[in-house]
Amino acid sequence: MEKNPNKKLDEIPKKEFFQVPDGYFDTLDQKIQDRISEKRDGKVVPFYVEHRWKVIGLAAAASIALLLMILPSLDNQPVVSKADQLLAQVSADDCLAYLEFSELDIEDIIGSTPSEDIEAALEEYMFEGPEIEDEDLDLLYEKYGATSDEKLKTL
Amino acid sequence: VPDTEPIIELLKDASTRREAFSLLVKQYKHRIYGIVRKMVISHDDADDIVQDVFVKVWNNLDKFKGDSVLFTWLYRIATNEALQFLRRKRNKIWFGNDITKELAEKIESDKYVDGDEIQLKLQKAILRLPDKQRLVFNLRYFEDLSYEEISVITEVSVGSLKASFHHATKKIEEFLQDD
Repeated sequence: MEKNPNKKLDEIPKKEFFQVPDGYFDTLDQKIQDRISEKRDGKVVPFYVEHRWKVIGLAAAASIALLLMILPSLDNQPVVSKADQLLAQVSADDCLAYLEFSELDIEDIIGSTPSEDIEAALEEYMFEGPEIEDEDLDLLYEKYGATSDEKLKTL
Repeated sequence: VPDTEPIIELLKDASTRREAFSLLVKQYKHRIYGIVRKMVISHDDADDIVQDVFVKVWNNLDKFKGDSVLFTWLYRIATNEALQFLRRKRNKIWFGNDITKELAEKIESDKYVDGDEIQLKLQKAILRLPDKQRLVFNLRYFEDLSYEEISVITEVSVGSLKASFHHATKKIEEFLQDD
């Protein structure tokens, strides 16, 4: 690389800095034609989203298979067959850890959740409020130096 | 900007629409790729997005009004897709990730780049701009588009674009003068 670190913008020659692999543009047309030939219901599914969900699907399938292998070997542990029941046994912390590593974003999660479920969750949150254990409440009081009575006054 | 009149004529007839689309891809793939790649940096990401852009174009050909300029319509779809990709990247649940730093590191390690030290420094300076300002800078500086054309693509007023480009240039020159 040429050593020439400090220049003004108009002294720098404009050139194509970014390159492509050999033959990339020769194959791009066909890739696009293939995509439009196999499009589903006229809706574009971005490749990176589609690819990501395949990976997530495989990870979920692997998790279920692992649970199926482990559960029968545990003493006094009933063998359950439904995926929902198995997944219900995964702790919230493990779910959060998985989501953190999965690179899912909020749009993906909302996009994959039926709208009625989102509405139900919002309704529950708005009208009933989140359930907080007494221990957690005490910790909050302690952290902010308030007593239960003071907390009640602020509500 | 290439002549798009023959393509627009073919687009009007359903029986020649596919042929028109092939011509469109052939004529614009380099430019669309260039715009997207400068925004997302990675070749693989740019490749995915460029394909998505043209699939979206195909699915929305009915919405294209012959009186609007074809290339500004295409560029608008491409720039929206690139900005949306970056927004999604920033909104990831994984907190604390620094996309600007990640992209700068990608430029340094990318095998599909070709430039001397000052070119690399310029690209790193551009990366420090906010995404939309970076887009305006790229369209004006590298693509040589007029402010009026950029205004149609980005739906931002010409006055704001001029101010944005001026600030971008100033920030880039400051970075270029720094050691």
